[in-house]
Amino acid sequence: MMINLALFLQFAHFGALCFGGGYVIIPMLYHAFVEKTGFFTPAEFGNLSSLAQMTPGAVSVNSATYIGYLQNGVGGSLAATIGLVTPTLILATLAIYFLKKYKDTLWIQGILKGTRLAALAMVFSAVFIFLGMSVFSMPIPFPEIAESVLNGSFSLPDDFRINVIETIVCALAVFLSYKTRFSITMLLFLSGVVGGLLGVFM
Amino acid sequence: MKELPAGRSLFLLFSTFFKIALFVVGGGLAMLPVIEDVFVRKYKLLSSEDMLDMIVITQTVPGLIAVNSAVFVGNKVAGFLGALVALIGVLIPSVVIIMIIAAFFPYLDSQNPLVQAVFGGIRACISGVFIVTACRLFSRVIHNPIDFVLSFLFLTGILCNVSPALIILCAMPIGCLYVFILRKKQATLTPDSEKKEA
Repeated sequence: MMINLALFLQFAHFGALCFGGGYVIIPMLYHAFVEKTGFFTPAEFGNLSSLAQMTPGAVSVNSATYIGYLQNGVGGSLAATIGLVTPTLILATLAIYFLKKYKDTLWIQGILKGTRLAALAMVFSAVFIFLGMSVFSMPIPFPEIAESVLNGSFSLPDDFRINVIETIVCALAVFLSYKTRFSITMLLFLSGVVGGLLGVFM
Repeated sequence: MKELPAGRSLFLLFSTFFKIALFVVGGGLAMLPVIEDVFVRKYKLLSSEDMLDMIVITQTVPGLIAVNSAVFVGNKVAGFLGALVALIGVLIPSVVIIMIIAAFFPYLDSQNPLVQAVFGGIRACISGVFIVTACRLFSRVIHNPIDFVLSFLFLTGILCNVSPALIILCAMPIGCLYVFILRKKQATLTPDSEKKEA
């Protein structure tokens, strides 16, 4: 029971510090479970974090469940996961409440106008992130490209390639989700199957 | 916005977030196209502006994008109970899958070629549906050249590795300035209707 309480508090602490999404939890976990306590070796931790990123769902939830399970079984994994999400649940509920309450004041209208444009920019930057993980062989190096254009020459890194299969799947996904009423979870499922089949037969 | 019977909307929240956690690989933002598909386009329970407000909250409130999004959508659709139901839906698949892996295959090799190939396909699909979602949001939010220029400037900042939280912080006063100037202009153009409102 004490272990579970400790796990709950520890992961609640991590959850409250995750600014900008769950990815930032990985270095915090590394510090806590590799450098400070030595619960994992660096290699074990590397396997854990790639497992958390490969399996579906949120990376941070996956790592919390995994570490909690290794420390104290099912109870430990539940304690760590619930601890992780509790601060977000409370803070997000408060933020939504205040947004709703002051929605009609001119200040909030202005803030929303600006932040919505910034959020749209974030959606487009996410498009480039996902393209860099699939269609292109590496993340698109925008700062370097901008620099080379300013110097009057346009160049890409040597190992920057376009993956053919991923490009076809991506183009099909664009077409199907724009032109048909396929649900997106269905498209995701189908493309996972297609990817797996191609991986087996090629 | 439409209204659904309470039980129906709670079930919809649970099942959608359950499916999202089961099929979406690649972290929190990747779930955006599914949320847009189900809650904005199919059931019309949210607006495009709500989607963007959700992104702002996920980037400013500390915490996981997945949890923030579930709480936001749940709250909008069915209040605090909705938030809890969506949150449980988004957690269960991860927790169950990871527990099974930790219990039975603690040494599962995540570099397994088949696993890599399946998730490679899913990631390619996410890029595709994300492009469509981004374009839909674009057509709903960009009303004039000033909107476009501002959004483009923010995008340039993000691509050059400025932190998203800093971009949102800068966007707030810019948006206020924008709205106040717009209002002043409208006031000088149509003083009569302003008076009627007051």
